[in-house]
Amino acid sequence: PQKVSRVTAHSILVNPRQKGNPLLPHVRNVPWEYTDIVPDFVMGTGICSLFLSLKYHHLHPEYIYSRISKLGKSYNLRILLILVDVENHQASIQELVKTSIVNQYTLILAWSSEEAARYLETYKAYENMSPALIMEKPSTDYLSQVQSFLTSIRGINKSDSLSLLSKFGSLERALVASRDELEQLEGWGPTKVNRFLEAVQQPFMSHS
Amino acid sequence: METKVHLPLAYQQQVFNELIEEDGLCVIAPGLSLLQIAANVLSYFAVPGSLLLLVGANVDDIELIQHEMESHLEKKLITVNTETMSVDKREKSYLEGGIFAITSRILVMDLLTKIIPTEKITGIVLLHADRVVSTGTVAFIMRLYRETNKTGFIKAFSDDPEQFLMGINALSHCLRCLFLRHVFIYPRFHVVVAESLEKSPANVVELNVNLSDSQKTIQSCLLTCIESTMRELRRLNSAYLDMEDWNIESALHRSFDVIVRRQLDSVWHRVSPKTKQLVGDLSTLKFLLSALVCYDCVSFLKLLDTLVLSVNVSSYPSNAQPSPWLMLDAANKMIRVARDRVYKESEGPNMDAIPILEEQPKWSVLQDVLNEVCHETMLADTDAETSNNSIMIMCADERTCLQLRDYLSTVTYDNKDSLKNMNSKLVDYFQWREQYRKMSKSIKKPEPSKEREASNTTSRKGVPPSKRRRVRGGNNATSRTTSDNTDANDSFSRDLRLEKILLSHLSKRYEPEVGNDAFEVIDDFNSIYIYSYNGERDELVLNNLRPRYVIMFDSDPNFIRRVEVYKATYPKRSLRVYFMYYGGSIEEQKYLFSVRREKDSFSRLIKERSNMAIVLTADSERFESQESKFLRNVNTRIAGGGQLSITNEKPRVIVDLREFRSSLPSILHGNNFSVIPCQLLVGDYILSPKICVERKSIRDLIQSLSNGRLYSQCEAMTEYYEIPVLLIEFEQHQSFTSPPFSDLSSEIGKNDVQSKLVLLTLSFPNLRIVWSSSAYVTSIIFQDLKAMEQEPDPASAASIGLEAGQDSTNTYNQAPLDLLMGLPYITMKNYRNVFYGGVKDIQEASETSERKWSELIGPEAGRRLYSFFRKQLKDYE
Repeated sequence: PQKVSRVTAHSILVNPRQKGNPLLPHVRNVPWEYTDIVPDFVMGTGICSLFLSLKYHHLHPEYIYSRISKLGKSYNLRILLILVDVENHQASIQELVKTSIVNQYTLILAWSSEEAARYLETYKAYENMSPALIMEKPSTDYLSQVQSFLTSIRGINKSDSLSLLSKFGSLERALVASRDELEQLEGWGPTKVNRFLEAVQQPFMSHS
Repeated sequence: METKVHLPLAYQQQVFNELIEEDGLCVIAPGLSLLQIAANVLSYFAVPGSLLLLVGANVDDIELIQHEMESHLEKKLITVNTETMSVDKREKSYLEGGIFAITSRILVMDLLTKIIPTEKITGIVLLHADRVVSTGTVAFIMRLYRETNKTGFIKAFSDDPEQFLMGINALSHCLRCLFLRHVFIYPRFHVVVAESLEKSPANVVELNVNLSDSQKTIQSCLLTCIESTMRELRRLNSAYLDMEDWNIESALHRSFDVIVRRQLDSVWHRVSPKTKQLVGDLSTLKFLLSALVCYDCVSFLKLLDTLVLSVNVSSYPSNAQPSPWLMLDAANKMIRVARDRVYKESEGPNMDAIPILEEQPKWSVLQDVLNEVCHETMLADTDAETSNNSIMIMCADERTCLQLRDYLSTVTYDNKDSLKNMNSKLVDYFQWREQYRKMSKSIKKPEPSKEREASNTTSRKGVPPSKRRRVRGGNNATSRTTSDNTDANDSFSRDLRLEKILLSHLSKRYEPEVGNDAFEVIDDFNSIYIYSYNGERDELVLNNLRPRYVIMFDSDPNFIRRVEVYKATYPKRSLRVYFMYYGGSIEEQKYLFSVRREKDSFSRLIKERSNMAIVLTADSERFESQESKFLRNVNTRIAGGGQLSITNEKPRVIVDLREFRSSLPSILHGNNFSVIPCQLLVGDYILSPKICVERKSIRDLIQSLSNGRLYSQCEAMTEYYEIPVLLIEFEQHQSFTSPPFSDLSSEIGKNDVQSKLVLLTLSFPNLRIVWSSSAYVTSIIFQDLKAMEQEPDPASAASIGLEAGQDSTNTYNQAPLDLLMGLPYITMKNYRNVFYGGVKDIQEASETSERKWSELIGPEAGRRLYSFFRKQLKDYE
């Protein structure tokens, strides 16, 4: 934590003990530099990561715990970045899941050094990004709205939703279409029609 | 106690007797009156005070069994689904006893909450046993049932032998799940079945109809497209797919796409969007093949148009690539031929168009048959007592029914007018094309503008250009050497001109009448009934109609059996069957293939049964030891060698009702958790007062990250629970490796799952992520997590997230709710306002006033949603 002032820089801070880590050459989209820090990587203000390869973990199972206890709770978001590079991973992952919850770490699994590097890069690059990208956002284009609406019925695909809309001209009209009208739609068989009618006519909620 | 049995045929009685004597799985060829036998089995045990359950039946099954019971067996079937019966009412009816048809999701709930007195269940009859999977709901039901009830019977039925041969040991797996040892197999070639049915066979006339030349061309084009799609699939996925038995023939089989999906399933989250598209294309092409013989020429063209259009609409920018088959010469040729058999441009200097409107070849053959039959009945004596003179025409679907009705109603009276209704179809088509044009225009809009600007300068009449149009329409007669864009516009406006000319030819618009289930054309001598194949229901129709003539306009092996059963049951009724098929066509091949396939399946199943015996006994021993295994588990849980007691309470997990679709609740129960079903608004699994888990399969994860639902769910979990957990669960048979991360690009991509996951954890630093390679592993992890924690309380878990005036005892219906959530401007935060605000269903939602919407979801969103429903395509530019 003594180096926190430098975190404002645009680079990922790397603990010198990570020298030789095969993921480092893959960090290309953001700069990085060696600094004397407690965690393995610092990706932003209050964001840090410990790195663990499962292969290493199998040889030195106590290592990660000493690192965790040394780090304490000094960062707001602590990532435990695990490289899954062995076949028999189940027991160790199970154990690490538990550890991460007890010690309040966010567990991220990567299956290659490239992927692990990508996570580090992204944390740095997205450090101050708004979560709008993953929030519910109404798409503004009418046709894609119609499509995402109608395709939320199981078994109805994009071209079905288009043939429905083009036949009836508006959603208002399409939603009250009769079974006969629906069965005449190109590509609509009885199963599709049933699913559509069920979704459209059943109440959202039934009182018990 | 005397019970009625209504089974006229020898083989039916034999199946019945075998099932009455012993528990077992009965696999019977489709069409051999399975439901009738099931109804008789249920009724046989239905003495007063007994509690019988019918599981796995769909709506049609229930209706037919009910009919059979009421008309022949003097028994009543009570249907249980949430809409009609509340919990209290269910509890009461179970105590009274009777025969209940229950959806498996409700039954699982009732067994877990002990609403149903498990020990009092007399027995369970299971339909569609082929759909049982070891971690599914039905298997869970059977386990819960056998846990407390060792004496009740289990009788299972299936008419799909093939399902038991998919995968390794599927049959013994299924038997193990159902706690059964015996399999009774009744193929059509079973001696007793054959004897029963062949005593008085019906008179069958086969009619081999030739495809028209244009149909043949289209068919071969489609086959080329299929072949090329398969080649492409093979090229892209040679590592995963077992291509040994891939050929055109198997591609035509109905479950081909399912098999491909299954092979790819283990790596489905890693296959490229292109592969997914190809698999989808295969289904589309297969559908086109069948549409070629059953759709009329105008509808077929319309279908092609819709497909081409939908390729251009894509909400995901990443896979906006059109399907590769559409780029083939064969596809262009097919579209051209499909158009040419609807209308044609005439030769000569004047631009003119002639409607061609090719008829389906079977139509005229059908007319000939009807003429012959009419003739015959005029001459013959009527023996109205046994069969009446009605003619029954059976076809594949409602659409064909309607098509035939239209055709027959015009053709019988005035031959020359036979094209009238086709003309009206064509008019419809052109009107539809207007809409189509608008849509494709608007779809083109968001595309990069450069090209559009360039082309606008060359376009005539202001008609916007469309690349798609060039590929489709432009290729037919144009031999111009001008630039691409002018060519496109030219052919486009020419199409438009052609259509105008044609429209003026077809002046009168024909209004189709409102259709019914059966279409009747009355003429002087006999009635013609047109039906579509409808599974077991056809039996009923045959019995009620007593037709003298049955014309099978489309082929269906199962219906042939039903006719056989009908004829054997009433040997005195005279019956002639005309069987029409397109010789040398895919239709014929498909028919023959499915017949052969079923026969093979049965032979293999019989072999399987004989090989299985040993495995099975070994397994059943393991069943018996389940009890001791259970005791062992309990023992290890009470660490320190404490007293062994089963009364010690099991660890409790509260599970959201929706999660019962997945296998985890069943596995949790198997691992000695007490599973408490509950309607949860926040989270899927509540492990303790602190720990709330949202479970996501890889596919769900990707989807809910992009539609924003996961963000809202995490928001809610963080608000109410100290330890919110996102569980990322891989499928048991899938490889435990990163979601589509293999094609990592050189730059950070906004649409990559990793990027979104990073953003999610940045937004919720308290969110814990659990990675699990399968549901089995998850249940072990749950045990770990619960070890230090207190037990959760169902009542408080259910009330979390509820607002004032909202009630936790209501049940939600999933399909309409999913649709509601699919609406724009409806979010995780406001969706409950909709139905608590008094909007009952989607239809009502579409009629809700603007003012009401703004009360429910806010003025801005309300206004937009209101106009979303009302927007007319013709206003849409």
